[in-house]
Amino acid sequence: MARGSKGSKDTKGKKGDKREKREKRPLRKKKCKFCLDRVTFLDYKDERRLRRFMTDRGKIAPRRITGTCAKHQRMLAMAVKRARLIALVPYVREYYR
Amino acid sequence: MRSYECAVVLHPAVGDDGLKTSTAKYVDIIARSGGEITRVETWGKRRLSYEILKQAEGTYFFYKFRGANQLVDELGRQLRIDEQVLRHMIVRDEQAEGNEAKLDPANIEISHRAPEREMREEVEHRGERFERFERHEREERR
Repeated sequence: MARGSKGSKDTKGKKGDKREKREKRPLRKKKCKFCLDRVTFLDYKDERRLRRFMTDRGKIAPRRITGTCAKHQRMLAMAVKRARLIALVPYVREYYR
Repeated sequence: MRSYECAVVLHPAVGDDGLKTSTAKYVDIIARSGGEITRVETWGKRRLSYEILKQAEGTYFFYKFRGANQLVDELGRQLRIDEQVLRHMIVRDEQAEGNEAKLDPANIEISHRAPEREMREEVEHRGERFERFERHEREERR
């Protein structure tokens, strides 16, 4: 159903409501957190900081989620990979069910 | 001469004396090969993120030094031979200015830093994670 059409109005307040809301949320441009801090070097020993940019599974979070700029994402990837090598952060973390 | 940083993870069974001997050994290797040590740091025993050689813990050491590339080769070779070393990594120290004060190899002061992370912290962390991404991942796995 096209957005803004009559049909979407009918679904308001019904099941489709949640979805409508999500679509309507204005896109806020994320700022690169490293740029805001004027980071010029990311240390692989700074594990706490690196973890903020990783998922629970241990993956490096993508730029589209964190809003990191390309330059800092490269630095981040390098730092995370180094930290993984010396077991400061995991390569993978499995969940057992 | 280039600035390097060497991270060493030692076996958890190595005692205090062993740690001293180990540090002295690597300091000696660096000094003998014409390197200049600028900093030695330890984090003490800490949980590893994954098991290495069946060990869940390790003692962390960091050496900052300046030296020629042959020194890096030699240090790496020695670290690989050493059975007390679970893991090591030598990387270029990009933050170094190249003019840090040189330490006396015969009288090295080791700076201590408490291990940062505890399990508790990890749990606290989970709240502020990237929920959207996590959801996406979970769906993927299904």
